[in-house]
Amino acid sequence: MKVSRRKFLAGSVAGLGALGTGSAGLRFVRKAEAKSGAGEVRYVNSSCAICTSKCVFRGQVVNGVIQRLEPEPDFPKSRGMMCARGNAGAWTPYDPDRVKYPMIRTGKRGEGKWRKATWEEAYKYIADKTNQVVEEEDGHRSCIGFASSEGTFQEHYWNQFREVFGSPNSLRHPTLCLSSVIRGFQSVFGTYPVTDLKNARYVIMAGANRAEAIFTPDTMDIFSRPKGSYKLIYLDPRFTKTAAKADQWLPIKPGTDMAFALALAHVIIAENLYDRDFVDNFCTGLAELTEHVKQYSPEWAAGETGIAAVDIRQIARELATTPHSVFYPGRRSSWQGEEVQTRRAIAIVNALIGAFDRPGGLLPATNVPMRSYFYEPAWYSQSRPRLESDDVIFLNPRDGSWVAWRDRALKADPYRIRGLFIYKQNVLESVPNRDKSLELFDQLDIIVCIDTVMSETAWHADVVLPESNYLERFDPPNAYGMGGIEPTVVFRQPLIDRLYDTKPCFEIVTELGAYFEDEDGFPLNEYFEGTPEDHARDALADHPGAWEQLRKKAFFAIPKVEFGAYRQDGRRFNTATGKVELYSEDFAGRGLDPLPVFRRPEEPGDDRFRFLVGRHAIHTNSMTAAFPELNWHLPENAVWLNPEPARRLGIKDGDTVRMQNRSGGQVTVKAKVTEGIRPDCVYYAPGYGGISPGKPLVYQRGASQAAILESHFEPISGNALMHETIVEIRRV
Amino acid sequence: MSQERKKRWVMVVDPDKCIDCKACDVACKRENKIDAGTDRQVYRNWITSKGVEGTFPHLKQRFEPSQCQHCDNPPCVKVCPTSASYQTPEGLVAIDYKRCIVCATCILACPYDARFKSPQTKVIDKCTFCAHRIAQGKLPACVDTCPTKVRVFGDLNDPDSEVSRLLARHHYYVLKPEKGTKPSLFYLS
Repeated sequence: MKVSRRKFLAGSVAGLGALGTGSAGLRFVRKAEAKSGAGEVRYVNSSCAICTSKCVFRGQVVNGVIQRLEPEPDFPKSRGMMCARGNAGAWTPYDPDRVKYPMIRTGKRGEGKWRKATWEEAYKYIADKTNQVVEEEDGHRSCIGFASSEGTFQEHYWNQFREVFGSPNSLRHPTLCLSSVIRGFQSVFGTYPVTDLKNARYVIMAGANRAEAIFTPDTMDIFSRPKGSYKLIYLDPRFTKTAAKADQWLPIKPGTDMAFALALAHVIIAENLYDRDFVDNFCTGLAELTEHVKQYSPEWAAGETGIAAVDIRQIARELATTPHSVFYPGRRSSWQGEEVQTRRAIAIVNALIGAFDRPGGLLPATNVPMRSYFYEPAWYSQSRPRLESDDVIFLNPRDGSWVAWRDRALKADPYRIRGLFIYKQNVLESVPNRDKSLELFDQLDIIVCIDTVMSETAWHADVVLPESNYLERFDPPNAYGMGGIEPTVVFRQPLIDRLYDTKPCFEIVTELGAYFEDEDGFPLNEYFEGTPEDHARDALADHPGAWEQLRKKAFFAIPKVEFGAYRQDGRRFNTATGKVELYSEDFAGRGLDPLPVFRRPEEPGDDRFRFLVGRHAIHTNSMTAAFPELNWHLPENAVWLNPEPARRLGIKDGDTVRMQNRSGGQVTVKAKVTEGIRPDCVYYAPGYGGISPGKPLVYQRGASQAAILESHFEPISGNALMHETIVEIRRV
Repeated sequence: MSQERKKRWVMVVDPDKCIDCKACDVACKRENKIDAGTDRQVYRNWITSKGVEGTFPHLKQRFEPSQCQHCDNPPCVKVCPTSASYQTPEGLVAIDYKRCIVCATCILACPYDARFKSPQTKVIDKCTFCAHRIAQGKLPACVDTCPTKVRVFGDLNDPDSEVSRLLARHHYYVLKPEKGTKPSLFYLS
């Protein structure tokens, strides 16, 4: 609770003496300001890099110093907004703890002893170590893993480097994020669609906390509408800010969303409320589905989910009979074991109500067509499959499955991993079970990290290569995640010159490539041609005027998509049958349930709790909690605990507690006793409990999610299971 | 030539749209070069919430964004011994920072707790409705940046402005009407 400033003043004799003694988080901005020249205000448009929404801003540069990142009102996808994180991003080039030059470790890993190196020294160090281990592995370049993160616009250069280097072991973010929802929706509709929330009149959200997990344009499209113009039903074990905005909040038992969705299907079919036109013309498998969901009545689902049968029945009827209704696909990091099948069940409900290719429904994402970036492939005679290729049914070769891969690498099964090259991904904070990740780090001969800041991962690397900040960088056009009903591409151009001895990824991989050879003895840098600017011009060559518009506005848009293209006679969907597949022959053929079968999740047990993950609007996972202007709002995280178990365990609000999971992971954190969570669950926000002094505001402050999450993944999509962690909790 | 009509700047706030995302606070601090550091007392705007109300599972939570109310009858102006606090013809309550002697009487007089001592300028500060941006034809930073467009800013003397139309169509309230301050922030109810 905030102390009012008046009361604070009245109650303090020291009064004003005590005011204004804050730390100087932005001191370095002012230092930079003092150094710069005469009064001059410039505006440069570019694209945000603080989350994956990539919003376009008008960067205000005063005397050569970035002052503001204001929203670009014409950029369609963000609806003319800039969130707290986007605004706070203006600080990042001036972060005093930035990585300012290449560094080579001199002490033990994680000890924090470094020497400043030239780029050439750093490249040579990396190449010597790496070439040596590759030789020891008989030329098997698969012994080096490559991790990378979304949103940089230069990740494809990193992938290119990995490919020409010759390793199949690529690890991207999707299996820590949305692989399962992609797979679930693809299996039904043949696409992972976007949702037209702008026109939706009745929306069910399960776990997708859109008020706090800000996602463009969805968050704006629903919450900027006047109350009463839509109805929002929200399922979440935790009372989030989306719950606060919802017309009905249902604190569902974790892991039972599928039971809820199947019961909706049961009612919609039994009461003949399904969209006969859409189902008859475009779907296959209604007979099998009808038979299958007979067992899943609302009364049955009530026992599984904790949601009253009468509520389920009413929601099913409202969903099926309100025009422009939709069951939002959601995109929370996975829930529990049956994750893909849960998303499948949600997709099936959408098919039944015909929430596809109509206003307020789902629509395949349309992208601005761009010429693809071309490069010569490299061929190696020594090659092995990905480490975890037998663990996941639909394994995306470029994404990998992080948890499965890490757990295999730890056991050197089926082969040894000797090094990890990491581009921006904060492995030690984003992959569940930090202890295991650190254990893997201990086994490696070489760890290279490219980042702008001393992330926890960079802190534990051997060589840190500093990338230029997104406000100092030219990044080629990016369409990834920019598709939708109003498709755009975005790009980045520098607002200011590089402040330190940093380079963008393209330069780094090209220069590093000179220290490696392919099997025929060609240096790898020869695979990299042109500049990102050349690639940018090439990519948009089919769109006259696009390049000029990018330079001016930092985005390029094509006309809005009209509804109805998929509802034409004879139109095939991108599935095996060409129909929307309520029943999946493909799944059956792979030995998977062709229709979603509910399996009851494990009970946590007495005085044990299921650990939940989830967002806060000031957090992009582990990235932003140390930004001073955001940290101000939440200097430390605390574990949410319902008052009922808190009483039983003798825990009071503000007490320090110790949490332990089933695999020995432990954290110490303050307790926040709140009615806003189910009695069988606990939660804390991401980004705290850091282990890098390079992020001083969160260093050893609060608790880390990666430290408490157990190591689980689901075998269909390879997604990490973020809600399969059971913890004990006690007062310290 | 007809004389330009006098403006009356007001803000209409729809609390139902607020998702408590803090964009208004960060944009404001950036725009106005306010570095709070770790000082909890330093902010020009804020979001009031009583937290989660009720007992599980019957819960609700409300968010009410706020800032200086730019009162038509401002107590802060009355108590200021040096006339540092004053009203502009357009209805803004402003501070002439050079005249402020940091007596802090205004902090105590303001019923909305809108004022604080700036760690940067060392004098009393508060929301200015981003008067420097209005002068350039821009919206205040908090209005401009808001993801869900909770705040609508405009001229109440213009009957065609969005603020006038919103207030004509909706029920609304002001904060602490009993204080007789006549605020320029109107909340839709």
